[in-house]
This record gives sequence, C-alpha cells and structure tokens, in this order.
Amino acid sequence: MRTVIILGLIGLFIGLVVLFPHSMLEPGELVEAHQKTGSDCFSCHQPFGGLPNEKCIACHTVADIGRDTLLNTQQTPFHVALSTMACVDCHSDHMGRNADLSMGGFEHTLVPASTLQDCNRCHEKPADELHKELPNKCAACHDTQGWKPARTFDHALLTAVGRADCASCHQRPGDALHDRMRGNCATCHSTDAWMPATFDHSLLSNAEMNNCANCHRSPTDDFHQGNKDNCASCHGTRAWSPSTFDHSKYFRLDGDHNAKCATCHQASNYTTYTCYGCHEHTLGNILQEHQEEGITNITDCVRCHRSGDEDDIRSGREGGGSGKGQGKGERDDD
Amino acid sequence: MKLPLFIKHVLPFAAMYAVMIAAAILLDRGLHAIGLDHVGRYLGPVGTAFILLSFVYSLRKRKIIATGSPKKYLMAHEYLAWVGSVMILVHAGIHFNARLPWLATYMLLITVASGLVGKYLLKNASGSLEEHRRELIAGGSTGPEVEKMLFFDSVTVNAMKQWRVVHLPIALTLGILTILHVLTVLMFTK
Repeated sequence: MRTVIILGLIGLFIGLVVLFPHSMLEPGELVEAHQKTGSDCFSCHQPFGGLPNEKCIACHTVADIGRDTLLNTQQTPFHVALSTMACVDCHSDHMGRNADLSMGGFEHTLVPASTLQDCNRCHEKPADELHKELPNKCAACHDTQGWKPARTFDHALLTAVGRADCASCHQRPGDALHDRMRGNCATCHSTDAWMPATFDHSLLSNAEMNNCANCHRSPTDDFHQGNKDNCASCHGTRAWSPSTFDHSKYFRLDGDHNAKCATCHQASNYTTYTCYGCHEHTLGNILQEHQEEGITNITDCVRCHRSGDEDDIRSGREGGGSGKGQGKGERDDD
Repeated sequence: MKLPLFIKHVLPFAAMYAVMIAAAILLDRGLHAIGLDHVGRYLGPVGTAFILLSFVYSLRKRKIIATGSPKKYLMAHEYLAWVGSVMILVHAGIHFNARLPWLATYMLLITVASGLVGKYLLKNASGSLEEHRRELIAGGSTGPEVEKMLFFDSVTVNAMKQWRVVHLPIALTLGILTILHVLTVLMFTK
C-alpha cells in the first residue's frame, strides 16, 4: 500500500511538471524578444549544463550585439572582447516581458579605454539648453555609476553668457524675497552651492530693512515673543548670532550673579524672573532685611536693584511699602 | 479550566510554529538589510541537509541504528527539522514564481505543523504511561530500561499510530517535491 502511495505521488507531481512545465517550473516571464522561443526551455538551457554561451550565440552574433541598440554602429560593439566570460555573468531573463536583462547595471570597466573616453559612442548627448552649451566632457560632471545625481558641475565649463544667465538652467525661486530681488543671483549666491547665501541687506529699502519678519521667521521662544523691540536692537544683518543683547540694561550680571539663565528665568520663560532661585536669597531673609526700611514688596527686585551691588539702588521705586526714602530717588536701604 | 489547558498543552506548540515563521522573516530582513540576501540561495541546501540529518531518529526508531537514547534522537529530529525549516523559509524568500518550489514550501509548513501535533500527542501519551512506569519499577526494572520500554510504548499508543498514518505521507510528499525541485534546478542551472 505504501509503495502504491509513493509511486502515485511521484507520478502525480511528475505529471504536473510535464503537463504544465511553465507554471510549475518557470521562475518568471521571458523578455518580449525571447518569447519567440515558444515553450522550448532547451533553446536556451542545456539539460544539467546551465546556460552555455553557445546557446545565446546561436541567435546573437557576438560582433553584432549592440548594433541595433547603440548609437555608433562602427566601433561600439565590445562583446567580441569578452569571449572568456559567460553571457549569464551579466545577463539574465525570466524577469518579465519588459525587463532590462542587464544585471546590476553595465560594467564600464569591460569597455576598452579608447571607447570609454567617448561617452557619445553609446550614449546620446542630452539635447537640453544646458548640455547644448557644454563640450563633450561628460566625466567632468557625471560618472559611470549613474547619470543622476551629477557628481559635480563645473560652472567654468559654461560660456560667459551662460554663466551670467543662471535662469537658463536654474529655476528662479518663487518666494516673496526673490520676487523683489532684481540683481544677479551671484550677488548673494555662489556656484558652489545655493546655501549659504551672502545676502546684502543694503539692497533693501528702509521700510523693508525695518520689517525683518517680512523675510525672516520670528523665533518662537518666550524671550523673543515677549520682546517687542526691533530685531536690529540686538541682531546685526551679517548673522543672527552673536547678538548684541545687553542684559545690563535690565540687570548687570557681575560677581555672584553670572549664573545660568535658568537660575533666574525658570521654565525657559524669559518674560519673568525670580531672585529666589539660588541658595543666597530666600523670602525670609530678604523680607527681614527690607522690613527695617519699611519695604514689603520683595518680588520685583530689579525695580530697585540694577546689579548684585546692594548699594547700587535704582531711583524712583514705586509702591511696595511705606518705608523711609521711598520715591526719593536716593539710596534708601542703608 | 479550559484556558489553563490551552496554555499548557496547545500554546507551546503554536508558539514554536509562530517563532519559526517569525525567525525566518527576521533573518530574511536582516540579510537584506546588510546586503547579504544572496545567502538565502545557499540556505536551501543547508536547511535540507539539517532536515535530512534529523531523520537519523527514524533510523533509530526502526532499529537500523542500535545505539543511543531514542528520546534524544527524537529531540534532535524536532530541533534540527525546526532549524532546517527556518533556513528553507529564508531560502523561499528569494521570491521565485514557479509553482513547484512553492508547493514544496507549503508542504514544508504542513509537515512542521504535523510534526508539532505529533509532539503534542506524545506529551499527552506520556501522562497515561505513568502508571505503567510504576508497574515496571515495582517489577524490578532499572531506570534506563524503564525509559526505553516506555518510550517505545508511548509511540505505539493509538493516537500516535493514527497520527503517523497522516504524518508519514505528508513527510513523503515533502520529500518528493524537494527532490523534484532540486532535480529541476540542477536541470536548468549550473
């Protein structure tokens, strides 16, 4: 019984292979041109012998390979120099009707050096405005790994006219800033890269110069959001950093007060501050110290103190108590 | 009551099957990620060798090989076949379109599932043999003798007999499809 089952199964599967050889064995559809071989697998395959060159050469004359597909029919064909290689080293099939039969791209090192120097023997020169102006030195910008991205572009290859007319190759940016610009691109940009640009703010009108946010995005942090001054009061037009922000205008950071921002401005909020973020000042000891002066408002310290020097008292303080010297415009906490 | 039974008896085998498929997917992804996907081509023959090696158990069971613990041979059969199956599933990840190798792959999955069912039945049978063990020990048999006798008893209980009626043709079909796949690959490639 077991023998019958074994023989039956073997017969069944062999029968399926014989009756439906393509669906059972074919790993993929042949390329369009090879469809002409019909269902005869052995027109290309040698039983237990792989895919010998002889099978390919039987249809493809080596000296003629490339004559129909490459540009220069006189000198381009190079397969004659590859007699030691197997066709299947570079080509495959069963990858679909429209598949490219070259595996892993074309290996340019197979081409004789003399042919390699002249790309246009195989490749057609692009007919666009840019390439029309350039000499046939493709390797100056492109390599054999791929046409795009171009390795580099040497603008020196262009004529003076071409170099001056950037828009003949590059698309002009459509943003508001560039809409207003009338100068040559080279005024701000170099041929090395679009960015960084060296924008000359003197090209702008006074009104534009005073409206930085027209071109630059406002910083979103609390400090800048809370600051209503013109950007130019802290920043120059050469660069955003370093800025000329003068903290001394509010409180001089000297002596023990050369601390981290977060010590006074907590949670990165620069619109408020506290003097009680360090060990030195506590509500208790500060209140005690100020009570003898009759000062009870001890939260807005910079209203009176412009630095860590306790003798350096700002005049004209308001409210906060009824102690002596309040509003007198003189040192009042001695 | 049903849930603990499921967790104790069914889940480990289902998990072993799921881990096999997950391991194959992860290995395949890993090979692609490091640009070694062509290694999958060679994992087919290696995986097949692992599975063939696992059949030493069958030789022991049929007493063609006389030495060695049958239980250990069975464990080797289970794990070698599992590892070999992972390799073959990675090999199948080469994305062929022909039906014959796919049939072989499906048959492999069915065979592993069937093998895990057998493992489950064997585990169940061992519980019912506990009484027989006590009788043998009471009768004066030594530990290794008892183990050997019980093992052969366990694989001959009814459930196992019925399972083998199904498992052997399944494994046989996998073998036939594998041989046909190997033959056709050798016929068309070098």
